[in-house]
Amino acid sequence: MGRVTPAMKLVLSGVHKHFKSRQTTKQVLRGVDLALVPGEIVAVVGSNASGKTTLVGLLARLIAPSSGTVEHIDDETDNDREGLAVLWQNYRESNFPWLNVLDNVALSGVFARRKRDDARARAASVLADLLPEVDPSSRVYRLSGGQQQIVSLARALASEPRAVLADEALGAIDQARNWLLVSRFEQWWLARRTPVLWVSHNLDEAMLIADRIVLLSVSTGKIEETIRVGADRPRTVSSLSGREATEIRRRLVDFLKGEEEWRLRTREVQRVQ
Amino acid sequence: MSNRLRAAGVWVAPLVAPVAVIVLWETFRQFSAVNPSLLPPVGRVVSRSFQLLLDSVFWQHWWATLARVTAGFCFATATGVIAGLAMGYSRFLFKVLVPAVDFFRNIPVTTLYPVFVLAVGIGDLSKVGMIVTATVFVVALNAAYGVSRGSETRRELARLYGASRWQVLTHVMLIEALPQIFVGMRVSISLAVVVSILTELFMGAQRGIGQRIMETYSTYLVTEMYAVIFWAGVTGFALNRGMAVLERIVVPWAESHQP
Repeated sequence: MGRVTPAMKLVLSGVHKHFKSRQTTKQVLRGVDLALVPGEIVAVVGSNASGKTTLVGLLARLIAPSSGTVEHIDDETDNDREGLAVLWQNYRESNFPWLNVLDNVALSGVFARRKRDDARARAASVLADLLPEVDPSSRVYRLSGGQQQIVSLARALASEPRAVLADEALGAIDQARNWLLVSRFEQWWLARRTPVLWVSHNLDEAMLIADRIVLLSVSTGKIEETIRVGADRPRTVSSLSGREATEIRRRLVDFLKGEEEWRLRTREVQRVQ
Repeated sequence: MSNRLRAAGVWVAPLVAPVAVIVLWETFRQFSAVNPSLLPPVGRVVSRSFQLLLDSVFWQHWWATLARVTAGFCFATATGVIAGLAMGYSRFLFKVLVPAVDFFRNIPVTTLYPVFVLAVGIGDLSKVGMIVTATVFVVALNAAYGVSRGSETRRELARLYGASRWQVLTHVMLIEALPQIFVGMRVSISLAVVVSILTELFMGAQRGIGQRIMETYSTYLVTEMYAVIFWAGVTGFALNRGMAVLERIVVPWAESHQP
């Protein structure tokens, strides 16, 4: 088993976020409360432009809220971000093309020489598990989009983070591999139970991975609903087909359809004006 | 068959333009009113060109120009990259300096000739100074754009994994800007050859390709003049190609790179 890392809590309270451009102000989040705690994986589902990526940026403290607070509790290190793993939606920018696959995963060793051997050893073992078909010394930019996302996931797992924030981390990966990777992630997580936020458009992925699914609404800018997923861990693909799973999927689909209808309505209103 | 034709095409294609030039040259020579002594036969220019390769005086001229080009280009590249990094790093410097740099870049360096002669004289310092002036802004602007178009995500990623501010600058921003810096360097190296020869023509020099062209021109050694011009072209072309090769070695990932 890997190094035991103290976990942290990440708490958003009463967070509003808007983005100003020259002519317009775009309201994204309007009063979001969310806590990420050890022992729980929270999935976020919402339509496009509902603020999922903003939520990740706020939790990582890469962007500041317009109002409300973002707290990292039990943060022992001086650097707030130390020990946080963020997985970005854009896999092209999530790796360094001038480093090979191994060093992309062992990234902390690139910036601190004394950590290099240790980081490379852990990177090699995670890569052997998640991406066995790729030679770790190969060039990262030659990999497919899905493989590049797996490199980012491998980096997150190998770095023994105190919390994981994933924004569409597996969006370019085929369904069968997706199931496999989610189950590998779960296996990794069960040994550590660090707090996780997992943003996904893939409803099956959200249901497989999460203890709690929060539905972020584009119409209100708030978390409209929270769904608990009670299925036992470790989960398998068959846990997607029980009666509970069917009920959860129905609620997710209803929510997303409602959001889409709202979006069409507001577009008509804008046209009338 | 069609494959063999295509393979032949690969070899033939680059030869089409030179052959066309030779044909035009000879046609012009035969059928125009130009004084034949000003337009020698192509064959004589070619054989003179190859004779020059064994001529130590020609090599001294060639080397003098190459030395000025190298000195000016290296100094301009080092200064330009550092200035460009600073401009790309700081939004404030970018806004303040980029319009000014863009303006200076667009002043033709030839118009500064009298300034250089008055201020620095007609020695090598003045010539190299003009090469630097012509190229430093090009490198600086490209470096600044390269840095400013770098990926915010990648910088955050480096910071999350323990990079210091200095490391973010040297290990991420500088490397991300390299493909764009090479664009500036390729433009600069060709410009440096042009400006070096031009200053030799204007100011005169002990040695230099421009100096040799001026000598042959004023003593009616027309064939040799064309031969020197030919090697000047080859030199500029080779330097430009060399830069492209260097780019492929230093930043092999550039083709796939989207900042």
